[in-house]
Amino acid sequence: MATSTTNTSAVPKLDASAKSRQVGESLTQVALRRLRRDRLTLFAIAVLMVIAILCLLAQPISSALNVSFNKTNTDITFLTPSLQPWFNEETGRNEFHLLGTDDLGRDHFSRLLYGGQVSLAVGFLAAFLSLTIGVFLGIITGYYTGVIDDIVNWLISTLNAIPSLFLLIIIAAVLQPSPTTLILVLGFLGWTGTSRLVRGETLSLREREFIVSARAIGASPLKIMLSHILPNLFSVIVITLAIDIGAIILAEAGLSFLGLGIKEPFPSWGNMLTNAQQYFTLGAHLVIFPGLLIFITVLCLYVIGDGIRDAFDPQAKE
Amino acid sequence: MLKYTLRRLIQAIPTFFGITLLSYLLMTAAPGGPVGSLTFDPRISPQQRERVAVQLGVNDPWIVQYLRWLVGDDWMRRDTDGDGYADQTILIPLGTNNDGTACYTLPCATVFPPGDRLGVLRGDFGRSFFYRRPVIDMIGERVAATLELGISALLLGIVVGVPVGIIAAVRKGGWFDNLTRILSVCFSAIPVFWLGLMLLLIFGARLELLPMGGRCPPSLTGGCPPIWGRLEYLLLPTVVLATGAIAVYSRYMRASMLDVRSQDYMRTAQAKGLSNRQVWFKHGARNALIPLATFLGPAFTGVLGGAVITETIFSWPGLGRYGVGGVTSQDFPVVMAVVIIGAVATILGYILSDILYALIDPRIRFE
Repeated sequence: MATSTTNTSAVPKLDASAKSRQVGESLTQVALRRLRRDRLTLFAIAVLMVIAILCLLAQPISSALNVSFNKTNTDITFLTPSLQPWFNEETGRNEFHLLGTDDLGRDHFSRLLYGGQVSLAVGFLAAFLSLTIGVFLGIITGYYTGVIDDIVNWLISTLNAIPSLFLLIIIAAVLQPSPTTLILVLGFLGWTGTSRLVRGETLSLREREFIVSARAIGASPLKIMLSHILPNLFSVIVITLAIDIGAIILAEAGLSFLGLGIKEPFPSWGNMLTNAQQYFTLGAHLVIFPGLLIFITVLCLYVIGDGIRDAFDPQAKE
Repeated sequence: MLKYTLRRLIQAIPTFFGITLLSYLLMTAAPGGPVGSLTFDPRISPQQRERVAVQLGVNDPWIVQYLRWLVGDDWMRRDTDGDGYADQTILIPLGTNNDGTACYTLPCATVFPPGDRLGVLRGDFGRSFFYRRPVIDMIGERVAATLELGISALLLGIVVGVPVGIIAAVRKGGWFDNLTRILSVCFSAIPVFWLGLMLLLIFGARLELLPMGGRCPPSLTGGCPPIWGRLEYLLLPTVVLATGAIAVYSRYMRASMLDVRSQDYMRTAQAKGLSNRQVWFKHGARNALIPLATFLGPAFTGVLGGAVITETIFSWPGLGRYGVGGVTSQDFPVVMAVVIIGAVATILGYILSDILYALIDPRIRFE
């Protein structure tokens, strides 16, 4: 392909009628324009927004339906999902258990929304934390190779040699599990991949002309790292963030499922499945929905990450 | 070759000690420390508790505790005259004084028996607080179950993942390629435990085709029958554990095949008139398989990590479930043992896959 079209394609960037890349458009602007046309990614973003908004509105939604995530009621254990209201004789009000109730008569839909708050908050915050650490160490080790680089590398290979779930298990056993400790633990363990990636990018960036010229006019290393290298890592950072949030939501769910993460009575998508085997005969819906929500959320994040990667790919065709 | 292997092994030594130190420090930071479970036992008087604490070395500096755990204390507190009580010591106390504090030189109010711990380096992981048995014995009983599950899953991952990757690469952009790409993203987004639960719900609870967990029927005596006698128990956990491996292998194999496709020898093979099948499978797939060897190490880790959750869901009596149980019951020696074994297996897995890579790819030379 390359040989046959060289003669014609060497010029078109200068051709005013070619709209593939407008003059003065930055890579970010190109990427945003591409993203606006990527239906799958837009759909994933929309689904994720809907889930996030519903979870944020857990409180008003629950009170509108007259249900609660932690109020037990032995009269209505294992209700199946239905739109029919259940009349509560004590309060004299209709309760709408849209997705049924669990083994203690708590509303399943409401628990899913509150659980989502935890899962999403842990995923986002821990991913931000791990990203901050990873980018920081990655830029430092990539820019100043040498002793720091060796130490960080040794740390990374040691951390990677322990199966991460085991490491999480020890830490979860040591610290009292709570959303805050989970964010700290998952954040402090997840940075190794990001750091390697950023280090590699930095290594190649620091030899480029614009960095060399910045150094030549006397810019300090801090200035170079912050205003010349960091902006060039933007696409890597955004992609990593999307994928990391998904991976961390999965990890949190796994830990909570094992009883080492968020603890009852507070719900999280993982711990709602801890005793799922006991629900098999009475309430299969209790097994299906929490996992389905994790799956959809993580899938959306992976699709978004992929979409952003394609949008930022400088070699991609319009 | 031998030199390279040796060098890799020597490089792994600091990593190993790093892991032991990191895990040990983390565990001693646990509330109550490693003997926290003794603190609330009402049958033990404060003096007795103090004695036990001194004997176990709970109040020693952490470096001494770590050394005792790592290399044992049989050489620290020795019995030279054979009366069953210690009379020589370094680093750790010989016994206790009347007020329960540590006593380093004879005479002491009470004298401890000589140290009997061999240390992790000599395979002694101590005794389980909960089961009151040597941890290493219990590990031995469970390793077979974990290996059985792990190897089955790894085999299934290769047997399914590799052909899927090859076909996807040969028919790049076709419906099969797109379908497997979508499936692999989907399967990496599914929580493992939920997949296991759903399969149990469908095949175990609803259709009643497969057992609800365990390694074999709860027999009256003498353990499980040979593996072919209980395949129905192995099926679901293997599938669950293998899905991740299949997703990764197929994508990796596809990428590797596409790399190989543009090589000169492929063009040569085509030019000399070989059939497509021969070009792709005899010349392409064989070479594309080589980089997959580097993947065996990480895949092994993945299987070990995944086994924790899979074993818990399917009540599979393996190491992972033992470790989780150890955390729940605050059984310090058990958790440490499982973590250290997992880490050593991971390190060895990486080294082995590097060596394997070099063995099957003659282009790689070691300096």
